[in-house]
Amino acid sequence: MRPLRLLSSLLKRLGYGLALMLGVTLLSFTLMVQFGPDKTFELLGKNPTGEQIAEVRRELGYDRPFIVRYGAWLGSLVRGDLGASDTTGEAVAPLLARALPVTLALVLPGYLVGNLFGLLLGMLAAWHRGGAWDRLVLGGSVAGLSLSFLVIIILLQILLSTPYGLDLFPTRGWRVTDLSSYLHYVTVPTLALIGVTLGYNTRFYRAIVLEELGREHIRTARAFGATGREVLFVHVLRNGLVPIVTRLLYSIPLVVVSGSLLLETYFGIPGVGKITFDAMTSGDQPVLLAVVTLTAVGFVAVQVLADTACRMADPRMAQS
Amino acid sequence: MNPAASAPALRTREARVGLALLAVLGLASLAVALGWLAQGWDQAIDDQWSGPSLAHWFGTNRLGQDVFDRALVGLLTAFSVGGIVTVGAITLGALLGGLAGWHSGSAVDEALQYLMGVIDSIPIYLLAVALAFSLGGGESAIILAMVLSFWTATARLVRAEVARLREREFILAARAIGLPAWAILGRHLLPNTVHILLVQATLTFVAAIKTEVILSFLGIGAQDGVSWGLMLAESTQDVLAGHFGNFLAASLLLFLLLLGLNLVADALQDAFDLREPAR
Amino acid sequence: MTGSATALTVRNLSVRFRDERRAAPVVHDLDLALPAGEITGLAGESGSGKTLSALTLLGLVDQRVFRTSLGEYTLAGESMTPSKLAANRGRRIAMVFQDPATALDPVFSIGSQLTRCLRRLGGITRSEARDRALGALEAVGFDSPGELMTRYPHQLSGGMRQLCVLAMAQALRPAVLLADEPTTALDAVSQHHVLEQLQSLARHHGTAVLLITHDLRLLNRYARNVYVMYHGHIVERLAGAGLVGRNRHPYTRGLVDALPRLSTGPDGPSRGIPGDPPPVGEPLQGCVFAPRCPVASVRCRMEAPERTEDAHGELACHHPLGDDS
Repeated sequence: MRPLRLLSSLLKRLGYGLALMLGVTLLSFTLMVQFGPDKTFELLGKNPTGEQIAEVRRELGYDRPFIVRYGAWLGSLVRGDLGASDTTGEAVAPLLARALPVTLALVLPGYLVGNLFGLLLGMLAAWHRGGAWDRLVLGGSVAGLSLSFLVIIILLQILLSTPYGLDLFPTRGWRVTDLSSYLHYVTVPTLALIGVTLGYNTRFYRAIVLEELGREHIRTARAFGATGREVLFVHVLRNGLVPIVTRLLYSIPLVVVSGSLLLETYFGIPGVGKITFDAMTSGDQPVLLAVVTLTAVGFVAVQVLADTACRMADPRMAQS
Repeated sequence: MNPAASAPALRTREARVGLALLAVLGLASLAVALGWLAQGWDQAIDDQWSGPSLAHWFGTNRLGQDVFDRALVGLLTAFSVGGIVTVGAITLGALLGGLAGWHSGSAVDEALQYLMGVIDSIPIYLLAVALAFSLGGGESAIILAMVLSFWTATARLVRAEVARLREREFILAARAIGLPAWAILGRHLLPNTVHILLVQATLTFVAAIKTEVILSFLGIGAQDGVSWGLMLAESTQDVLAGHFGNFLAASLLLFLLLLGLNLVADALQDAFDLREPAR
Repeated sequence: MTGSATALTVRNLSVRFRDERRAAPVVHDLDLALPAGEITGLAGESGSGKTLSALTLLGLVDQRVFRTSLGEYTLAGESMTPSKLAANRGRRIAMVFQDPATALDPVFSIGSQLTRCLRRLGGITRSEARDRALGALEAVGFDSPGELMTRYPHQLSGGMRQLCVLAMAQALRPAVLLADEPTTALDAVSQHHVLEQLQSLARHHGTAVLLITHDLRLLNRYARNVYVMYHGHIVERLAGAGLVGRNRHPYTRGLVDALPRLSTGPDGPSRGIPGDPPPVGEPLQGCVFAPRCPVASVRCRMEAPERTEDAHGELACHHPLGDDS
């Protein structure tokens, strides 16, 4: 009975996820293809004849009704064919497949450390609620929330990568061959990512820890001898797992796309964000469409995953 | 949950600092808008790269323009972009969220929730890119993108609150005596959701300003106007050559404005006990 | 205090609000002695300071809200400071709370919560802890403890959960167990079972149990000593069996009269105590009960009565009532 229920709820979630994906692809296709720039004249020489124009429009599919074009594009998407870049002619799928590991290598350390620090600071603040530590952490997080990502990046660059500061790291680039070169290039972007997320993370974790600390079973555990460390790292963490895992998963697509867009553009790192930026500046429609679509697909997949993980994390949900 | 309840909360030290910051910056941007301040920002009034002085607090830039004057004009841009986005997103969110909440459980509600789900699946930067792509770039594309992206957060909160309120006795009673929906909306529902809108407005303002800066930096937003994002984009070259004026002026004003908004947002959230719910 | 040694004694324990506007102590110079192997009662209306007294003895009072002073506090022969108290929680002193629905961590099985409790003591292997946990569950009356160990709190009834908490106490065998209204949220059958377990814990393991309740009949049956608390003050201590019938303080009498009677009394419906308890932390002149006391005199309103001890216990009252009229 139990696995069956889990499966049926998973399928339901998956069905809704598919509906969401359909909506996202429809929206992005409408925006970028239907209302996007007409590419006919880019492909034609000077003074084209009416026949030439019609020919190109047929090639581009502009003569077919919208729904047919959307269907055809969706069909190729399902087959894993994301089309070819307008600027380089390269197939989009391998282009992105090559860039994704770079992006993950760039953002994962900052994502993980940022969440870990946020959790620890949140615990510190919540445990000392209303006290000096709490005020310090909260004040720091408000200041952090008020700093733009861009400001953090430039500030870190001045401090760490220029002769006006410590001058330890490169100002841009990504020539990663081994661990030491990886650390050389990844440190400043990682610190920037931690800096921009720490304020939000800390507040989120503080709120979670406060909520869990207020529960009565915490009082029982303490009355039977649980130490502060056990309360925080066993009871609070395990009970707060559902919102924490949800947030961790939900923020992946945002960190990968939004975080990498600015970081990679700024530091000249050849990942998904840089590809997106280049496609944006050159008007490369298939690449942009692919990035938007895949992000949304990833987002929906993550939602289904988070839902399943939460069900398994809570015995009440798993067994009821 | 009465808006007047926010008054004591705004008397904490943090809230006062926040309000004072917003007041000073708001007056400054008003002065710019009325033509009293920073009018010569686009004139080359001095040598390039002149250091900070009494005449030019943050020195001059590559073109010999006063950096602080440009930053003040950027302040006006931030206020106007933030203001338009906030009014747009909050209005849209209140209307559609109210609609979904009033009809909660119905097909209208389902459809609106689905729409929110779709929009929330597209990161703001990509939506801005897509819109800039179809509209041909410019300030209006990113404003539209932000409104379209930011309204869902407000709509979800308003929807939940309205759905909760409509089952309460005083609303049921109002419906029972045949009060029309718009009257109930105006007299009961709107006043009871004002606190959500107020908090969401400050948070949306923060998000809009931050997003505008980054989009401008990436070249999606303002290209010819004055934005802190553009100043920061210039500063990335400047700082390598040891000129910090652009960076300091833009990031200082940006920080102060965001700090003021965040402090007020915090005080409001504390007053209404509206901490962002854990997702 | 007859026979066995006292597991816990405290003198002059007090608790105040940090908020200066609520100046009066919430617990005023509490003197308490819990003899080993006995159930001692602490009675009073809600808001009288019972729970806060117990939390202070445990060292779990919210220090942001309250300022506590432990006075002269001796636990199992050792003088207690706040830091020593923290080290003794779960070893020599533990507490059971009112609401079993929320007392256990919902995401851990009963077995893992019990064994974790035991493992905190140190010097015990996983399998030893498991054996002791099984033994404790059996001791509180569960038929198949092995199966119960794998269950989660939401799968158990309120009475079963409370017994699981008692099993934790049974496994740890603290010198002192504080039980705050442990049966209030339970049905009659579970109530009886939980009380029997508390009694057996006292009898067989020499645990000193402090049973906090507003129900004087329970204490009449199970407790050897009953402290009666009003507005943070101990107004009366009743010693010996059949103690409740021999009360002399008008407040205690009011508590007894407020009980619904099964055997009909001569005077019809229960009388109870007129008026409401004063707000917690409100300073009062004279006897704290005077504003609601049916026999209060001018003296009561001016001068706080001293507590005096005799064969029946202790009493702080200017106008003690005679034996049950």
